[in-house]
Amino acid sequence: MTTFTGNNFGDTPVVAAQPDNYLTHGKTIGSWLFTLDHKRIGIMYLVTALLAFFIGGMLAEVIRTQLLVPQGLIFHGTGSVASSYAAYRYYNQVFTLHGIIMVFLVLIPIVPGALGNFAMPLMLGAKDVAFPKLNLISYYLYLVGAILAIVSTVLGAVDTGWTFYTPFSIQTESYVVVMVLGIFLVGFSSIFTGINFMVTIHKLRPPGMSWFRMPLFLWAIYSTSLIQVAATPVVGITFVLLMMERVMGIGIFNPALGGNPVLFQEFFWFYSHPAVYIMILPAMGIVSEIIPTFSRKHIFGYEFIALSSLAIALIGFLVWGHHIFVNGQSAELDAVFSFLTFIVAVPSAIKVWNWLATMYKGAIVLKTPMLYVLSFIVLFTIGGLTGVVLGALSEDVVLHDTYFVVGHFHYVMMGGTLIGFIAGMHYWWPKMFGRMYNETIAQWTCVVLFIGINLTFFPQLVVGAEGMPRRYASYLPVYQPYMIASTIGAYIQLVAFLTMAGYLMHSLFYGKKAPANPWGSGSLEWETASPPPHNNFETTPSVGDPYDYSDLVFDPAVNGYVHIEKPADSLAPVTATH
Amino acid sequence: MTTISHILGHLNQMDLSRVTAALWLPHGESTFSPQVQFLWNLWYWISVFFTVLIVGLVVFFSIRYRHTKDRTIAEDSPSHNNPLEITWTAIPLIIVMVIFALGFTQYMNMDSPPANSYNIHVIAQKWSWTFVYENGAISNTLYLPVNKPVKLNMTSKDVLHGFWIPDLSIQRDVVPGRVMTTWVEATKPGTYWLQCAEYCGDGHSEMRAHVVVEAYPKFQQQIVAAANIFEQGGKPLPLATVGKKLYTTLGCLGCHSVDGSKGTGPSWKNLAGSKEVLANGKTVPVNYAFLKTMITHPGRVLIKGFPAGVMPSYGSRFTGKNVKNLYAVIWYINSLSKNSNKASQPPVPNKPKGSEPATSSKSPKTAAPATAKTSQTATPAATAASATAKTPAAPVAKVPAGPQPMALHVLGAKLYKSLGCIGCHTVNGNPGVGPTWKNLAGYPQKLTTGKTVIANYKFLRTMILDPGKMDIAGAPAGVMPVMYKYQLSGKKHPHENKLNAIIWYINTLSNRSSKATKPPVPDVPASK
Amino acid sequence: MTREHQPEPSDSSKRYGGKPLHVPGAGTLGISLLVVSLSILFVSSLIGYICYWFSFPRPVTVHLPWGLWLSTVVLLISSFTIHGAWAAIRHDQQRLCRRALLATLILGLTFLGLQIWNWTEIYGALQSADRALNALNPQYASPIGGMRMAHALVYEKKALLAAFFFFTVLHALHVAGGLIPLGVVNVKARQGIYSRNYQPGVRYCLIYWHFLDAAWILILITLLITFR
Repeated sequence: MTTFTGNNFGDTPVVAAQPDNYLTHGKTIGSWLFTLDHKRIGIMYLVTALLAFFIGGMLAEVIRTQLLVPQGLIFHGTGSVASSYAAYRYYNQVFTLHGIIMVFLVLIPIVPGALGNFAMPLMLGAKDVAFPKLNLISYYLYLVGAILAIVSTVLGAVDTGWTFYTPFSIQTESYVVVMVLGIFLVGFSSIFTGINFMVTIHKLRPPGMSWFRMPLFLWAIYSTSLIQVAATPVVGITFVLLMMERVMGIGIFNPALGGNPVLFQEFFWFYSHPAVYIMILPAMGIVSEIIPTFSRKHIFGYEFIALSSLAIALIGFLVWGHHIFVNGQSAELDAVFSFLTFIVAVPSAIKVWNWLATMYKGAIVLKTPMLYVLSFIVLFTIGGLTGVVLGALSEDVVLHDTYFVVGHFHYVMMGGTLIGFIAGMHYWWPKMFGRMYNETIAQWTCVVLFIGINLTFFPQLVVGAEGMPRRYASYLPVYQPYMIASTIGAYIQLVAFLTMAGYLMHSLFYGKKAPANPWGSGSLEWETASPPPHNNFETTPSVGDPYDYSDLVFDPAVNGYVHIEKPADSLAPVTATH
Repeated sequence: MTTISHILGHLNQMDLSRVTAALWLPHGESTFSPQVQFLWNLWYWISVFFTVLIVGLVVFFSIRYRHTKDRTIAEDSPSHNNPLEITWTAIPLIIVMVIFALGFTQYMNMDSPPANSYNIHVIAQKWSWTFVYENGAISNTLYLPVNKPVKLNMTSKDVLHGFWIPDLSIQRDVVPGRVMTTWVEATKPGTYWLQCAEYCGDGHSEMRAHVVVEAYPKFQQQIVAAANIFEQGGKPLPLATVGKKLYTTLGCLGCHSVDGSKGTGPSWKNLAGSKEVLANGKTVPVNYAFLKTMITHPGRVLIKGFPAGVMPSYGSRFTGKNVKNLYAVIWYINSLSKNSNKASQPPVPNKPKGSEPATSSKSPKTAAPATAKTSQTATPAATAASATAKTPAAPVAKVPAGPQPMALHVLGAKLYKSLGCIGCHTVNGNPGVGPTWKNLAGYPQKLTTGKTVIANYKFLRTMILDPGKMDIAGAPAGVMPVMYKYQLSGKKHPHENKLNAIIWYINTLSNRSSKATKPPVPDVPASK
Repeated sequence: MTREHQPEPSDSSKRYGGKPLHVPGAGTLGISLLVVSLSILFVSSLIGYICYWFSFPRPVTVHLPWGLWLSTVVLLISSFTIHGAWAAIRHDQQRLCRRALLATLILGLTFLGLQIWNWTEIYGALQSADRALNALNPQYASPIGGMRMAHALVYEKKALLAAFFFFTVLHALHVAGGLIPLGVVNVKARQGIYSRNYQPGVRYCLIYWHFLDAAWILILITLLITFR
């Protein structure tokens, strides 16, 4: 972290040639570690989360390699049942750590923390977030939480699964307390970020930017923050109770002491289901930014997309029970949760239709961010539709806790959140670092990644429906062909990600200089230089419709888009294209 | 609304057996499967339609409307259209509502077992499944009769487990501390897999069991055969062989290897007769007494290098009437050790002499079988005992040791503990989960229906055998296990002498005991 | 269709350069959101506790320490004093404001002291419950429904005592967390920073203190109901 921030950016020769920007504003390590600049904090989040993603991804490759053969390729016994069980514990630790890292350290913070922090104040035309110090505190809470999670792995790797279901998590001999403490801190980081962003959007919108003239990414961030503020305390308290259960034996979740293990599940999912929307909503926001920009066309159905984000956030609070249909809650309750689960599917569908309608009759530029967004739409469609069948009560009985569920949420989390994040990263990369990446390699990488993801997770859907449960270190031989296909897909993904890391790192040093507005987007962050100066804007940007591209033309001289003065007669205040 | 439910009912009643299979899903073999597959197919084709539609539009738009030299700006087209928005909100909404309604009606069916179901008790523990049948048989393979509804009452000994048979389209989590139920009616004989679906630790992925679905008569034979582990073909087995069986059925194999490889617990290879270093640094010989302590009271002594609190407390499975299990397992451990010596061997011989084991297992007839069929403390040994007894239960209970007949209320007091009544009913008048037995017989009891009845013999008998029939006001409903019906009454126990023993015991605790409250047999049977 | 060219905001120099911006109303909104978040934390744990308590087979009586009433009174008074401080500064009564703030700080510390005293009492009860548990034969404590009543009762008692600790410590941590900014506000008030037109620190403390009060009342009511 320190070396990266200290050397790679501060001393980049090219930016030195430019006027002062936020990367060159201070060159000491301290100027990064104690920065209050939202852009630098965003970069720090980005680096930390990508590092976590690397660890989590390598663990995923270990998981996939293990499952190449039915008895396990890496962790397997020496003949006796007892020895294989002892070996499988390592596998359990690996998938637990993979889940925890990916969910709590990557998917939840990566879009709001990295891209939200970087882009949101810029999109508002503001100098910073409302509480810059709180922003830095959030980052450090996240960092310390992440370090604690890693430390607990070194002390005694947790083998509970990322869900920490009781009573197993009370009985296991691993460092659950340290791990849970780490996640607790990450949770508080999430709450503070949420408060900060909500206040920023409420109070720092520039004059002229009403709620319904905000870029849709801000709507998504706002909805996300709402969930973070309202749901995260519940998981915080759940984890405190779990810690007390382990340390003091208070008995609330422990059936041996008269407690109720299902209560833990209710609490856990009360947070963790909305957390799914914490992960996916900002990614949807990114998609809503990129599609109109690259279709050169006003977003279709702005209000519907904006309000569907809010609807998802609110209804998302009421569907947690669908994770526990088969654990014996009353059938009536199951029915209510199933019903609400289906209701929450509809706003997502609305978004997809509106995105497609935006593309209709556009002038679609198939640059890398757009390619990723198109992958997002396809993968998210599969993820969403497989979620529909899981919401049906009788189908959930045959699919619960199978690889079908694994395939479903990887389609949503990987194909949705992560692809959305990658699209956003490619979209804002020129703005972040002032450099363009190699477009051709980037496009091919996107195609390879798309193939890899489908090859990894589609067989999982099939094998799950056929009857393979999740979290299995070994499996029945009949499932092996699917497992092999899935593993090959995972390796293809690895190749794609390594290529991506390569060309992005390359671009930092040797990439072409980026213009202020390489994609011709209409939102305010493109009004300033790439990378932006320390104070974001030299002159006050003027607020307009963020999806109006009629006055943006490509200027080969700067290799980017510039505003043109429009004829006077079109200056009449028209809010949207009809 | 009624029309909708009518249509839905119609959909579910359709001849679903013609829907032979669903893509991906296993070829289901239970009465639920056709329904599940019908809904799956419906969803599947809707999904294929929408996926093709969306992917098609994405590809078509990307090609048709792509940015070219001649096409640098978008065509003029509206940026919103409310009727369109409402249409594409309503269509998905209608579709998901249909899927919801179908899923819900099917689920309600899965949730309510028919009254004439055969009962099987499923015990889940790390990392094995044990099934206890109505006749007290115990197996690690789940035997199911074909075309007969079976109700599965499931308990877990440790953590969450998931009872899942993909081919029979049933799944339910097994939550420790409560009895989880589900039911199934298999429609085709065959062998299927039961897999643990809820993550439960090291051996989760190997926590499997075979499910054998057979015609009812064959099923009957299977469970009768499964009821007896101490014998094979009428001949008693050496205890070490029985111990080897128990090594699997009781789940010892999950932690202890027999080939010296490392596991969660110490390997049994060359264990007996060797020396172990304790956590406190002392070195002790592994003799019979040590092994016994480690098995029955695992927390009492800690071995160096092995974590505390992992070994489940097998307690009642190895002590008291079930001590034969302990002998069997320790004999098995000895058979694995080259260091085995007199001190490490159990006090009974490994090879049974003639018919002796049969008689020895017949003798605890009075209490042991009772233990066998309680839902929680059922053990193979005890069931074996009941199965070896060729004659039906004698009307007169005998004290195992002597020829003297035992008073029924004394036996009742023993059963009070061994059957687990003690868990919920006190005998000193203190409150418990269930009503106290102190001054119960002969006293009026208020029911949840508002009626008040006197706790006479008939009432007590009903409450024990059919606890669901009446609910006493103030006591939680549905807590009292239903298994006692099969352990105390029915064909196997025509004289109900254990039931009478318990009721006699309840009578001795009451100062209003009368003829109406006493069982129809005398407390102390006439001496022969 | 049209980009509206807004006139440059008057405070543009503040917003786009120079010193960090002061956004009017941001602090109040932020502290309110924090209070909402923390309220969800308290309410959800209380709901969970009540669910758990409902599953107890038989009521157990545990006596609440009477010091609890004393600490309640102290906390309630502190709520009045901080409200007084805020009202005073709004009328530019600097001296009164300072005194009220100091009183609040002292009352907050007193509250914590009283809570520590209460904990020692409950801790004694917890230890005796543990002793009782050790005295019981563990053989009957089967996890599957067969738990002996005597065990269940002691476990319940332990659970109640643990709940007492959980909620009071959780609340005390929030009080302690509030005392630090309150101390800062005390110092600032002494420096005369606050005035009729500028009193954000006092306002934030006021919102937070009212939250502490409400949370305490909720906890107290729950404890009174469940401890009987």
